[in-house]
Amino acid sequence: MKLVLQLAVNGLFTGFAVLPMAMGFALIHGTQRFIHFAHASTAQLAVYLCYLATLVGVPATLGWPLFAQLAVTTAGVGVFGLVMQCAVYEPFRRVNGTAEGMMIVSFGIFTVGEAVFALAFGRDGLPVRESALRTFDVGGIAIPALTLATVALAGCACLLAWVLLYRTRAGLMLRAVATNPDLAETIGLRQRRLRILSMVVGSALVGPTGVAIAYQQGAAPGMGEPLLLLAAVAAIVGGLGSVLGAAVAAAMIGVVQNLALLRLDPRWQTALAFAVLFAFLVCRPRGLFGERQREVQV
Amino acid sequence: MDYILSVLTTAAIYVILAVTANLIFGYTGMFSVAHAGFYGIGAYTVGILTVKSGLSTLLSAVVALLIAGLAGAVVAGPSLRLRGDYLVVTSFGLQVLVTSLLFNWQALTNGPSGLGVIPAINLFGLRVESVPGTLALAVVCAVLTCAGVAVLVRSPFGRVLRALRDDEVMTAALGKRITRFKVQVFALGAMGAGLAGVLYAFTTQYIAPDGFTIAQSIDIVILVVIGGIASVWGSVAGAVLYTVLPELLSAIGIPNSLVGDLNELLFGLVVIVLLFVRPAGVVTARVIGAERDRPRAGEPA
Repeated sequence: MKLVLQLAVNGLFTGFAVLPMAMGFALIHGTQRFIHFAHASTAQLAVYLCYLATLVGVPATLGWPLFAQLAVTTAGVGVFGLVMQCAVYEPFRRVNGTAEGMMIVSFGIFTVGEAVFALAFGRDGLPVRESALRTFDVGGIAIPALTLATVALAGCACLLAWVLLYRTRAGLMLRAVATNPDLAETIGLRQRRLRILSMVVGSALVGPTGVAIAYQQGAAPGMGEPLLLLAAVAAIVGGLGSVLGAAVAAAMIGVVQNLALLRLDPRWQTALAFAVLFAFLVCRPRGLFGERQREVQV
Repeated sequence: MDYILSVLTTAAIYVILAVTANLIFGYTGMFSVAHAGFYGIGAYTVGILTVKSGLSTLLSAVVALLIAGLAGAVVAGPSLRLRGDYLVVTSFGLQVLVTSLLFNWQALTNGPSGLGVIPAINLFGLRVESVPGTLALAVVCAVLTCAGVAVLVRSPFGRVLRALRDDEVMTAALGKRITRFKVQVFALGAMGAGLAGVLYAFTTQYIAPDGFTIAQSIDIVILVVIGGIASVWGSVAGAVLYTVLPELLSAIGIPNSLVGDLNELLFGLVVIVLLFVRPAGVVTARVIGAERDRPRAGEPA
């Protein structure tokens, strides 16, 4: 029983670390309707930004340095999203606005990003924190302070996303675009602005994910793609179009992946995320909270 | 001289990868980022069967093709009933899964240190071992694959594929079972990538997991787009460019440690710029997604 609880606690970290990024992916996909693959580059950038923030300032510890690093990282990836949208995606939309075209452009951004990161930071892992962080012992179960901080951060991100989407006018318009882009166009919503907003917010949400992952594992190349996979799977399992659904699904997948270690070798963890995705595609393609797909084929 | 021949062999292998990827997304409109995964499945099946189980080379090649094709069908099956986005994510999942197993399933794959020494392929008593020999084998396979795809897309089967790429609902209304068609094409394409993997394993005789990652899959998509989608010659051009460019970079004196990254950087920039200035690719065939999103006749624009 202790083992189960311990694995669940470990799972909370994975799940809640990915959670903000998954919400960002769902937000961007909902508003713009294409697979923003370069979200992986955003995550990679977030991890490296957190690394850089610890180089300049104080080594990573929980407490006020965390907030400074979080602020730098989140602002940095938000700006990255703004640049991507204004310099590449928006101009390209006028050339070829199809979902396939946009996705291939994002493949291009991803490839450029990988190369730039490799040239700038090398191919080796870089340490982010110097010493072990505190761990609380609750009845024999180790609860790392980092896990608590991650859960708290993800909770705040969720709350902010909820306020933005359901308590502001911009959020109302974002949801309108996500539910029915044609109608939103007809009633004259300024789609370009909303797309930019979704990309900036969606990218900024990667900030907390990047900081949590960097604190836990340091910064290394190739960290973006597995995170993106979890985020994309969470978006589908939560139901495409549902930002908070993605959040619930991300937390769930993290816990399930870790509980599975009771029976499975760790090398099958990716397989398990894949199996969850597969099960949903076969049994409930619209996910937990998604609308029924209108384009389901015969 | 041998070095140039081995670069050409790699180019031939990439031609196979590009043409079969083009069959999947250029001709049929299904976007997948798992091509390097199927490539890896082909290579590692041969590697494991010949090195660890001592199976004959030809038999293990056949098994590798079957497993790659089967993996393709299994992945494509459930997601193809849905919108294209689902296939992208599922294939992405398969790709990450394959990479993680290649790295972590040490007992089977030897993990990051790679698998060797894979014996040379024995074609009915003829051992293909010399560099010119493997080049000839790879070129023959590449030509056959290109010819096969070219014939296939001009056949009645190929017309159905183009029809369902351009208008799925209409194709279904004509009584075509589109999901079945798509699964068949996807499995065929995966098998083609498996063939490339088999050739790769037998030519280099040593395989390591970092040749079969998501970055490779994305590169394959990009080189097909650069060449021009739905064009066999375009894929040939893209593949040759992709293999020759790094050699040119090192020929002009760029240190080897930078060549790989610079190559990726150039490739990514080229595809972005190209999509802006010439959306149909170098060897023009069609613009991505163009037919589908154009208003049809009789429909208000």
